[in-house]
Amino acid sequence: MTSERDAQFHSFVVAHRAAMVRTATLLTAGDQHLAEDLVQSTLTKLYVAWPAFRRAANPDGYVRRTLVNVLTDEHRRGWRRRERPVAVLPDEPAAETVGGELTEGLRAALRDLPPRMRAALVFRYVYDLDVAATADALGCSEGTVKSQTARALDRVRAVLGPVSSVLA
Amino acid sequence: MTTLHDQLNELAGPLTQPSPEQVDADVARGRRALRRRRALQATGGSAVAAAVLAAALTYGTVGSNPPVPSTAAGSSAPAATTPLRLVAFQGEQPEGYTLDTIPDGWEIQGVNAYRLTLAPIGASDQEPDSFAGKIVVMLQSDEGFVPEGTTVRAGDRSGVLVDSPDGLARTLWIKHSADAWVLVQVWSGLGMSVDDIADLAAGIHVHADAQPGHG
Repeated sequence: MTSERDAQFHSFVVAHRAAMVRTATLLTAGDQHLAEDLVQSTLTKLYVAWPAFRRAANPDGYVRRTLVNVLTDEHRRGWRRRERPVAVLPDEPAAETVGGELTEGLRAALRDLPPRMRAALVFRYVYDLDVAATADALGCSEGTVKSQTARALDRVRAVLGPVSSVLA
Repeated sequence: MTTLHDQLNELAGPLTQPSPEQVDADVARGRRALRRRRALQATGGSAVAAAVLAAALTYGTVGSNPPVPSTAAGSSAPAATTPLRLVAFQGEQPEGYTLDTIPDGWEIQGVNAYRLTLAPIGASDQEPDSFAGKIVVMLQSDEGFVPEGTTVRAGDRSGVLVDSPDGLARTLWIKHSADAWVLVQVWSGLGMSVDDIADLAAGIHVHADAQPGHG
């Protein structure tokens, strides 16, 4: 440790990185490579803005907002189309996927959603954020959250069928 | 029936704690990014401003005209031995800004949506995108960067005065809104004290139609 910032940031990463990877995995429609990139970029931004982050009234909201901003920025830059050189061919391509047939269908459904619509779905239905907190994370109006979430659900239902009564 | 919540949770995968190497790598990436950001910031606040400054230092002017090499200090820089005195601004207010004061014997050399340039009246360097020997006001989008320097009070606002590592300029950062900073960059050798810079900045009001730079 060379500074107080480093020490605080180190502790934050140890405590929160795992949860950030899970969120990022959903925001990237289950792509764990992209999720790792997203988390790395987000953590880097947090380190640079560490004093502001420490002063934030809602640190969780700050992290969510940064994740979404990085996701949106990288999507604009064609992140999803970027090739990823690897040292060796993977033996089992399926090893990086999680879950069974249902999850694979969900992954495909999420992949077809625009990133911010996907984020609205994730924040509303995984983290149970209310509309206001989701709007804060996405940097948009509450009305936009409602419409984006409704459209996301329609599109997921179109792929998966009636997924659950909790979506009503 | 499996709920969407359950499926999303399954897709998110297990909660796997990071290895010490991963955490160390995150810290190292952060440090490198902060160093890069500070280096950029010290020269003007954004990649764009840094490029403009670099061009100004090398050529004296930038823009549509062919650059003409000049000395690094800029031909319009007044002698450092004469302190500048702020006086009430009497001229026509520039679009996008309101000025309460201006250095005595200075004028608004140029203004657009991205910057306001102040220079001595009759300066030989009439290019408003050349900042050597001048004062420039810019908006900078807030992208999470936190300037580190000397805290300065500018009227009812608090700012941070940042010296460029090469000693060529000082930049006072003042929070303008949730999304932007106002940057007042003062070239070295103009004879302005920290209090002068703060007083000048306190009298600069940026309107909504000014546009922040991104960098």
